[in-house]
Amino acid sequence: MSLLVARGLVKGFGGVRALDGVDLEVAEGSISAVIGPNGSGKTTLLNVLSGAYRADAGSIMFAGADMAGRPPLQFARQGLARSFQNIRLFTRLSVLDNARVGAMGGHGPSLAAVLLRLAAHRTAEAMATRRARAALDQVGLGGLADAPAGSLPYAQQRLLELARAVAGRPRLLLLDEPAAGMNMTEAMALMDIVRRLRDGGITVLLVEHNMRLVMQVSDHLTVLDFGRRIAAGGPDEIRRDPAVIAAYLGPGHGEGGAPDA
Amino acid sequence: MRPWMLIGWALAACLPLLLGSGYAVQVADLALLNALAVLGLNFVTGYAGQVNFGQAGFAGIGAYVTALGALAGLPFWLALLAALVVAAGASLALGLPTLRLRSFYLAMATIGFGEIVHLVLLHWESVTGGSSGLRQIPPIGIGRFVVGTDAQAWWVLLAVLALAVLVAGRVRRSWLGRAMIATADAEIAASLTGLDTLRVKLVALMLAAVYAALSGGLYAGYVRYVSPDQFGNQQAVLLFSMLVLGGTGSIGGCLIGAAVLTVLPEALRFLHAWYMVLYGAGVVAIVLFMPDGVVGAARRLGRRLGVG
Repeated sequence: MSLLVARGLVKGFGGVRALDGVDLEVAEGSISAVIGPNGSGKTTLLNVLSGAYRADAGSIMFAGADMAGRPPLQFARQGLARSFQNIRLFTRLSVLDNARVGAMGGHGPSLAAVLLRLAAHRTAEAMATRRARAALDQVGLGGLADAPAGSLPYAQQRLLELARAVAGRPRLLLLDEPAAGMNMTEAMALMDIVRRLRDGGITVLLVEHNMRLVMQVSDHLTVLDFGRRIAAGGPDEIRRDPAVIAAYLGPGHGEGGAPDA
Repeated sequence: MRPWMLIGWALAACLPLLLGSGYAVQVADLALLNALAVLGLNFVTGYAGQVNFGQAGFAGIGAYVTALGALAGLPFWLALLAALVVAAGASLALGLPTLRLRSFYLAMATIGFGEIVHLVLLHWESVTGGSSGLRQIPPIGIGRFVVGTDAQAWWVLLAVLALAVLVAGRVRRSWLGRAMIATADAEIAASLTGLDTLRVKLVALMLAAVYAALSGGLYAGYVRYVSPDQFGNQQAVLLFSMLVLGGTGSIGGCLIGAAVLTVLPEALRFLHAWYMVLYGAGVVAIVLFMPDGVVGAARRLGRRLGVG
């Protein structure tokens, strides 16, 4: 069963076609990845798939709904969460409160309930706190709940982005280069977390530069080059695909050798 | 509420006994009224990060609706309540089309709003009395209790401010306060958690407008005279300066900023026009050296002392 099916996505910026008719499927319960050389359109694709950019053409079916042209808010309410390549935390809030924003989403009680401390407010706060703490524990930030988010070191800020996304119990989690700036040990630990999230029922689609990580963790890969899908399949297929090797190493390297980095 | 806060409020209640009567208490009363408006501004600008130079305009709407209602024979509290409702409506009218705008454009739009309110108050003479304003406004009161002295006004205004602080604290510690700060810090990330950031900004602006109208309405009943110039863009900038001086996003900072910038011009009256030079230089100095205001600077100092 595909949770996400995109067909013929086109997105241009001025004269450049960042996406030029991209197809993508993400099977429910899988870890899928989008890879490709720099400038191949990976981040643009993620932005289109989360509603941050509106596609010029193409369709996006997510969890049974046609999402093309809808704002990010509705993608989120349909069960999508994401992290950002350039970290976008709520730096003035504590670590716990960042996760609580993720947990509550747009489902907060009314202003009257907040001001009068009605049951609706107390129930919602308790639920958000519980989910936020669970998400922080899942990424290993449980001990830093009260720290200001802006004070965390870089790798932990990435983990907090992940926790915030997970706290909302999404069906699909988009991760934009989640291991960027991490050393290999931190990145491997992150991939363990991603695997556990998948095992817990969250479908994951990630964009990642580090080929070794991607090949280890992904069930399915889509390869982009110049805004087009040049290959799709399991890790072993992709490793042997001549088009992929050519895209990574340049023409003339069509035989043998896995793309690496 | 922490014990030191209770002590603070209790000490504040004793202030008129210290100041005696007359001018000093009047200045203190005005500081409370300004603090109300700045606390409101803190929702939309301090938390939600949306520049709002319309705060004096909302106070003007609150003052005039209260004054007109009370002059027409409504009980003061009912006129004030009507003013809050009208201001909330005005905030929706301003916010719905403009809160999609970013920084500079929103600033321009809110300046325009303040200007429009000022011009309407000035030129709709048959209703507002034009530049001579409205006089003999009935005093603040509820039922048989009517505020008669500056000291009584202090206690009433202090009680209202305490309630306003309580409400602000509850909003800050709820999902709404977190949503406002999240919207300011990273709007796209906030909307991807499912937050309707436009609605969050609207709620923040509405709270700001209601606080401003409360301030303006009580001002009308306290001074018992309103004119357009009390609610012009100069007042809007002053309220903004109070927020920045105290520390955006801090409830205590709002109170400090309002107190300092209300009392300072009176204390430095002997400087005459030079005060404006000092004020201008002071604002520049704060923006440069204490971008997070008195409260932020105090916090940093505390941390340094704690470490060193």
